[in-house]
Amino acid sequence: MKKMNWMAILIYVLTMTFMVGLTHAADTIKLGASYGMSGRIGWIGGDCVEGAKLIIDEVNAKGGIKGKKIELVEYDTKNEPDTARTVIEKLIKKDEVVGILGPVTTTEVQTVTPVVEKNKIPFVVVSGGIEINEKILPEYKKEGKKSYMWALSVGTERQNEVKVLWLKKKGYKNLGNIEPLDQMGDLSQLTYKAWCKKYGLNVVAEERFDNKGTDFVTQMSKIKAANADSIGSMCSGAPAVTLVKNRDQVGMKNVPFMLSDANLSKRFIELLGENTANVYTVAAKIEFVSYLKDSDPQKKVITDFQKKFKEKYNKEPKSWFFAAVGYDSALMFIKAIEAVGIDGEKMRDWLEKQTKFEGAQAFYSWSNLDHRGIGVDQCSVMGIQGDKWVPVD
Amino acid sequence: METLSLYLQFAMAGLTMGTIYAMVGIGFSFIYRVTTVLNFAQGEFLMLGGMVAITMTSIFGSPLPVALVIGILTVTFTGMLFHLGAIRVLGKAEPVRMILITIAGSMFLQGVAFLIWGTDDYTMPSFVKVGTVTLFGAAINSQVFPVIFAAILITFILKIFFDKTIWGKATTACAESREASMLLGINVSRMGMLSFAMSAGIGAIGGILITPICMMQYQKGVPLAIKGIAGAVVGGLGNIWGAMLGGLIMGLAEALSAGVIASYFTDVVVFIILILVLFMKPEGLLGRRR
Repeated sequence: MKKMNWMAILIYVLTMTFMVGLTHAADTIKLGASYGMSGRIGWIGGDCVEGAKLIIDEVNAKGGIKGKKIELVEYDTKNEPDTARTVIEKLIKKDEVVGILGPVTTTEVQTVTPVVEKNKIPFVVVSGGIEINEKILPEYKKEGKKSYMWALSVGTERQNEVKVLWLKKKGYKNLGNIEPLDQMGDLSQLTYKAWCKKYGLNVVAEERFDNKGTDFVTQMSKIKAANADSIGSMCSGAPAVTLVKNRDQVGMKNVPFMLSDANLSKRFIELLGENTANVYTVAAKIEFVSYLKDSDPQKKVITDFQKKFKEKYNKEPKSWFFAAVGYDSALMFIKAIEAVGIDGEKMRDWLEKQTKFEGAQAFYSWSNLDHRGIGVDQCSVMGIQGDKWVPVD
Repeated sequence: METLSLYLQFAMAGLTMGTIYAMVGIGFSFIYRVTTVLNFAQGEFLMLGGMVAITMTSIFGSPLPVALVIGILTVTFTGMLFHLGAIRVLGKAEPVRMILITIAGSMFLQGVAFLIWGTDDYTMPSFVKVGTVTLFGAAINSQVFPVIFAAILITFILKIFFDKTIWGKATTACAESREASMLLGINVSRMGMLSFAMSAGIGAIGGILITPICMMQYQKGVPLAIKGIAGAVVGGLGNIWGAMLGGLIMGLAEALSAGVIASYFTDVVVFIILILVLFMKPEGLLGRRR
């Protein structure tokens, strides 16, 4: 009798698994989510997935794409490059997804890129540090290869362009550049130099500093000695706070300090304390939607997205930016599949041709040399007012 | 800015970093003097001190002196527990083993701090309300003065402790020879605990005082400890004045090399100095040959 029970259960389980596999294979389109969902910055992945599910559930409720439901297969990369690679292999080989959302961090993206591109699957990452527009796309173009990576954040290059343009508009002439001693710093230094040259500003000082250091007065006083009237950096977090304090300490409080968009948080303003004057960064429209004019067509898209999000989850995400990136990533695949089907190469070719793609973060315009697609007109320089980041003219 | 005041500014920046390193180095040197162990958890004592004080001021709203005292007491107690729970039980008095244990302790304390405070950076208001002081055209963060004051005060107190008190003499004896001290009836293990408790307390003071300058985060202890050890070695391990001198040299070397050459040379310059000192005077600038 006991044996019989076991056999019955076994047969039942096997059949059910088989059935599930069968039905899934038949009428769902699988997308993979490879975000870091746990650990230090696990909340980022959480926001992204909630954003993605918002649009996927909405499309599924309306019957899916041409009768096929969309399924989001989620794995946690823990924001570790090795885990991310395993996750991506699993998504491609076991789950046979047609598109991948994530990962988030630059090191993860660098690790998984060869695997994903070999399988010709489009993937949409978050990383602001990956040199997609700066290096990868020009190189691929030269070699006649196609990149399958999209990165939905403003990115170092565009951010610095917005900053330099703003400084030029305000009449500043001499930029002092100070960057952390890492890859991000290298990239930022290069792009500042290039944009300053293009828009007619002088880079009068190029300083570097160790992110683990305790005090950067030395570098700041060199920038002061070089008579800089503005300071540019891609620094974020605690070292950025120290830099700003050091700027005020050497008596350059009136010199605008352009920092990384990673500082767009209340916490950063708290850490700055009394030193919030003339501190700026750059953000896309999702970060300042309440300041947009009603005539701006993006205002409606963003407020609709925020309303839908709050209705579905009964809360706000930790960061609207990451929720919007998740939403937009899924939306890209949905629109591409509707237009050209599930072939990876066709999807990427289609995406590359889109201009004014109406995302929740921004209206993207992609090309074979721009896989970020957030134009200068989609961003604003942000300053601090009270305990808030607000767009400045 | 003229060149002279620019160089003065570099020197002042070096002084700021130097006093921070000195504060770390004093703790190292002290514990080494008594137990001949390099305590790699010293950086974590600083971090804990800063974190506890921040929690007291920002969450419980307690005044600065109260936060200072509670911070020091908590960390002193942690130091005692560390000695009682790990060093005494596992160490068996072998220096290599004890050093390994302190490394484990450093990781453990980091883990605990991560669980309590997460990965955020925290800061607290400056102790001195003046903000920035300008001296001959060079700007100095006024928080540096309490750090310097505390470093000198601690050094004096330790000097008196070692030279004039029976406990201080007993700890020195333990460092000279454990066996001889035991024969003389000194409780060696208790002296070890005392030294861990005291160096933890010294670390806590340093950690709290430097928080307004460089903020605190659960991983902040390690980079501070590395520079502190380097400073203590240059000055002469076991010599408290030496730790101060070494820390200042390290800070000045760092600031001047960043100012005059370039930022990526700071570590190179610092370690060239370290190697040169080890070559020419292995016992450190103020150390004495054993």
